[in-house]
Amino acid sequence: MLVLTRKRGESFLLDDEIEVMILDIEGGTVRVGIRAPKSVLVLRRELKMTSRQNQSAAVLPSDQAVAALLLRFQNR
Amino acid sequence: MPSLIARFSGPVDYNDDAVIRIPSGLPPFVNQTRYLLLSSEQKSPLVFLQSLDEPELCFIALPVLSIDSGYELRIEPEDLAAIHHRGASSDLLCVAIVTFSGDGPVTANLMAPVVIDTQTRLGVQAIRADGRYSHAEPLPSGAAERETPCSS
Repeated sequence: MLVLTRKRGESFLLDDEIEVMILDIEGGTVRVGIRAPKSVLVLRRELKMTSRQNQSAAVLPSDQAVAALLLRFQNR
Repeated sequence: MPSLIARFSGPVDYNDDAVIRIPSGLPPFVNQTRYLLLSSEQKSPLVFLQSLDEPELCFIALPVLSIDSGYELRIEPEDLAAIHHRGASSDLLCVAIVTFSGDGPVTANLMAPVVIDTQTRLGVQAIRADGRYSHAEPLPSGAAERETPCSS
């Protein structure tokens, strides 16, 4: 992984047309501004992971698998 | 009274009052915004988030506290605003969507629980960014799955 050190107000470029700027740093939180063409999709990583997970979760299991899970909770 | 064939429990009659609206949907299913939360005594503690817009779409979920009794809900102000939450935190119902993957363990998304305000009947999938819980937390295995100690 490439590691860069930037200060508040500094930025870097991705592929010449995407600019990422460090707007603010406070406590453990960094505010980032992104300037990119409309065609570039910007997603928080957690949203992407949740989206994938929901897609897998929408494939429903067999009745037997559900019954096996229930058994686990009833045996606790 | 409207009714639908629920993906898991068969025909269900429901009142419009029972409908839960999730305005931003459950990504990537952002156009499916109306759900019923179905539960039954036999299938407790499982709950079923059944889409009303797409009858084939249904999620199995578990109350987060039934998975981890020490679970601490952390929800961003914009998510609370999205469900018009003004009352007590006891009005919030918090469930984690369960994924059954082919041969892997059954997991629950504790990173992004579905939080429903029972007063406003609005819900949101509240994604937390603090890295404390996984989007695929293996569910605790019960007694039936515990390995028996090797005797030899």
